[in-house]
Amino acid sequence: MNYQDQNAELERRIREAERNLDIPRMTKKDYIVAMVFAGVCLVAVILGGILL
Amino acid sequence: MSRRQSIENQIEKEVLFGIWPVLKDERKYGFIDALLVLSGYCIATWSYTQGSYLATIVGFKQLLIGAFAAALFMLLLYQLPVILSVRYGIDIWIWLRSVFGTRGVKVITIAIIVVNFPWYAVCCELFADSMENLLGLFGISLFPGGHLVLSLSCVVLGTLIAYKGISSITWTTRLLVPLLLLVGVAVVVVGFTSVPFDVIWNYKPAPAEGVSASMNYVLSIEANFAFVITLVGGMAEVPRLCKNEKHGYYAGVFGQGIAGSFFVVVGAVMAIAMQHVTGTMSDDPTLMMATLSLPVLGLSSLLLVAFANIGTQAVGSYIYGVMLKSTFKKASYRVLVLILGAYVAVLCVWGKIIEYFGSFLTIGALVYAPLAALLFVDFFFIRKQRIDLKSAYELEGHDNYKYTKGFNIVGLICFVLGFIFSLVIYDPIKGIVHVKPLFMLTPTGASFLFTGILYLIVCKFPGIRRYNQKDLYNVPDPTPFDREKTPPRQNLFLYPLMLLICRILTAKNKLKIDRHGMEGVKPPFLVLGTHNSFTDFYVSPLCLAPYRANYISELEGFEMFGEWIYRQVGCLGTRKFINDQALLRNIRKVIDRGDIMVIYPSARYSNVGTDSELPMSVAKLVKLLKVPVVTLNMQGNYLLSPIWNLKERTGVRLHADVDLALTSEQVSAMPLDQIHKSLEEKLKFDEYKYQRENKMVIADDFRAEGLHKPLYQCRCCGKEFTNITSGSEIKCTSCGAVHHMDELGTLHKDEETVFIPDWYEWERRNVEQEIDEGKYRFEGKVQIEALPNAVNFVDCGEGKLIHDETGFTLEYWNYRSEKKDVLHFAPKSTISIHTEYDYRGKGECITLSTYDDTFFIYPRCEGFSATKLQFAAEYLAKVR
Repeated sequence: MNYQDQNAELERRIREAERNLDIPRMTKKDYIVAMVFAGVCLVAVILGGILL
Repeated sequence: MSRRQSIENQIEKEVLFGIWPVLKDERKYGFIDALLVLSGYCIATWSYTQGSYLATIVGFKQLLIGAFAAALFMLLLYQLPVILSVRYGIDIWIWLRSVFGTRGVKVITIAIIVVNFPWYAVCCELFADSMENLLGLFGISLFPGGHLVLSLSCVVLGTLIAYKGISSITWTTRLLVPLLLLVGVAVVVVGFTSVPFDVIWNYKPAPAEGVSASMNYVLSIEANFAFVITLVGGMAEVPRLCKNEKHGYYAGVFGQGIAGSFFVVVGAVMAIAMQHVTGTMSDDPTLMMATLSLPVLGLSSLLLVAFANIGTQAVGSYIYGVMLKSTFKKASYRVLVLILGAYVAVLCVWGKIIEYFGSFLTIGALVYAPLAALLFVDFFFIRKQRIDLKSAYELEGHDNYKYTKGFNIVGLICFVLGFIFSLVIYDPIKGIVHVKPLFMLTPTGASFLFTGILYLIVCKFPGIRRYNQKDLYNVPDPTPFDREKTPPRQNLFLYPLMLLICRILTAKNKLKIDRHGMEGVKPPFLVLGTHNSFTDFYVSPLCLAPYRANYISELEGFEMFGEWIYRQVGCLGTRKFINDQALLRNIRKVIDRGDIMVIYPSARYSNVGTDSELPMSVAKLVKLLKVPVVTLNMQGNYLLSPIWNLKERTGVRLHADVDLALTSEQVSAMPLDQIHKSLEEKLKFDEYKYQRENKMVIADDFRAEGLHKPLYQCRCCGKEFTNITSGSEIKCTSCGAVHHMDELGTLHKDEETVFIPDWYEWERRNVEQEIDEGKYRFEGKVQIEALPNAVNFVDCGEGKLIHDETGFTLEYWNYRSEKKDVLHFAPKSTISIHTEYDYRGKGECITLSTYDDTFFIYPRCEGFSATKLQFAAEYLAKVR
């Protein structure tokens, strides 16, 4: 591939990546679940220092 | 191989071993495969070293909490930005070009490699140790230098697998990870069965002199944070190959947080069991298996552990090879892998990496924590999950991430300060705690928080925001401004500072404030002010002190200075000349809570220092609110800095009259017309009259430069757009007439004296006549930018503007619907328009607004005059 072809291919990929319509995204619920999970872990760490 | 195959191979090469975005149909990994690869990467024998280290400072139960809960907590947070890798198919190092600049990111990448790659030397050392120990069990001694040969062979084999590619790595880990998990389980079973259960479960280390139990616990949490955060540099290379954001995210979290942490615990179990049986802690599973169970188990674990180290070396080389490829795009992936292998080999030759394990862990975290924080905050809060990929990939003409010669000073300074902050809290070499309260957050945690908060705050400052977010224009946020949001009171802590700044800025112009009838007048009341320049916002608070107030402000001020700060100084956001019911509700809220509401009814700076017609709607508002009305008539603000040339003049004295125009009883009793007339009188002004009456000499050489913008029509020959200005003169290029501006703001031509406001009103009458005769029409090409919110402008491309007796018609690119569109503004809906003579250096423009957008319209044709369009709009609103 010459430099122009490479550039054209990269630009094409960037356009596709910017559209990124078909990659399933993290939903608001997913974020909440992750943060609740993190919160539980943090509480466990704090309790580990106090109680054990 | 055909040309097509060759090209396809090249593309695959650029995607998998390069930096090109991975497209949807190229994604290789579901959750399990990604989990296995990342687990394979994390399950290295360095986990055993970590586990045995932790066992020297905390008991087993606390160790479990730290290894799992602390690790998962840190991973759940800092791994979140990995979703950008899944979404766009890119490495985080592409995104980090926006944080550090296109060249700054190279510096950071190299720092990460230098700090991180010693992990692989640890792997190779442990591989060599295991082999040596096992040979020792069979009575075989290594030849001199044999240890080094073994560690180097681990480097060579791992590098070779990485050299061959991702498919080899995937198959290796598919076989390896389940087997390693079996080894881990076997170690745990042997550990718990060869010694009494409670020996391990109730294990506590011998107390260390001078170190409290709580300090040791914090150190263990720090070690766990530092341990997992080392993944940050390479966290995206595998997730970018995932098909699903959630899978990519959790593969990283669980790969390290469960699989990796399990092996840390395995290491601890081993160490505790070995100490109980032999009196010495050991983190070598082969030695343990051979000592505590059957040598054949030791042999099998050796082989699998050997593969583990080699597999880790391979995955690590791939991850960091691609990471370096992101930074040094012209370099060959394979060459980079070889360079990384050489670096590890040098560290193996040095031979002291295990000795310095604890220090190396914490020093590494000094670098990773600020990096992780910057990525997190930038992704979620600064760039809000949008990046200009063309600039990130440095395509020609896209320079948003070039910053200052390739370095983003803001990001780099925050990174360095985060690094220093950790050292301020804790010295990892000598193990000295400097600031105990912050140490309790752990140095990694504290540095993460500090760097993240610092970056978030500095990016709120307008100048820094503009510097750091040049890409906003290319990847704008289209969310409309929230007009319903309740305006806060002026920030109580900022208020004194605000007054001080206002006082300083008006001191040189000797501001004098006269109050009339204001004795005993307390909020709530409505303030109507004249509006001439930005100086109005410095004078108004001083006139109303000590009371705080809220001010109506156009959105572009929010965009300029930042929404948060603008709201804190009391501003309510709106768009000019629209029927904004949300604004009315907010005005009512301000009054009802007992505050002062300041409105500048003209809604625009005066063009030539004179008042504009007061709309009847202001009188209606007064009637509606039923509170006292105070007028604020400011003089000198226009003369100091007229809108047609913002350069400050010398010799200007500022003055303000604060008048109780109407009491609440008068508001209730008087009819609308009378209220309107009374307020119009109070808000009348003529800056040039003020200048003459006070003999205020403005002798600046440039005093007339720019005056041709409001005075666009020659009063001698009547030609439009032929005036130019220079120094203190305005000249017509058509007939040659020259008017000289004296030091009291009056124009002279030969013996004739002309006042600027008179010239201005003469132009207005000409436009009105043109409309009456049916001759008025403007049509021309324009460039349009929309302002939807306080964050960014949006390019709406080139369009067409028509203005005639039917009103304004704007043809433009509608970025919301992504197609060409037409907006029509009837005459009655545009009682006036906002005009600018040189908006932010982009030239003359007008604005037209809908509820969700303010369109800034710049001419790309001849015959465009913002002043003439304004005259026409104001007259058409009356007569059509």
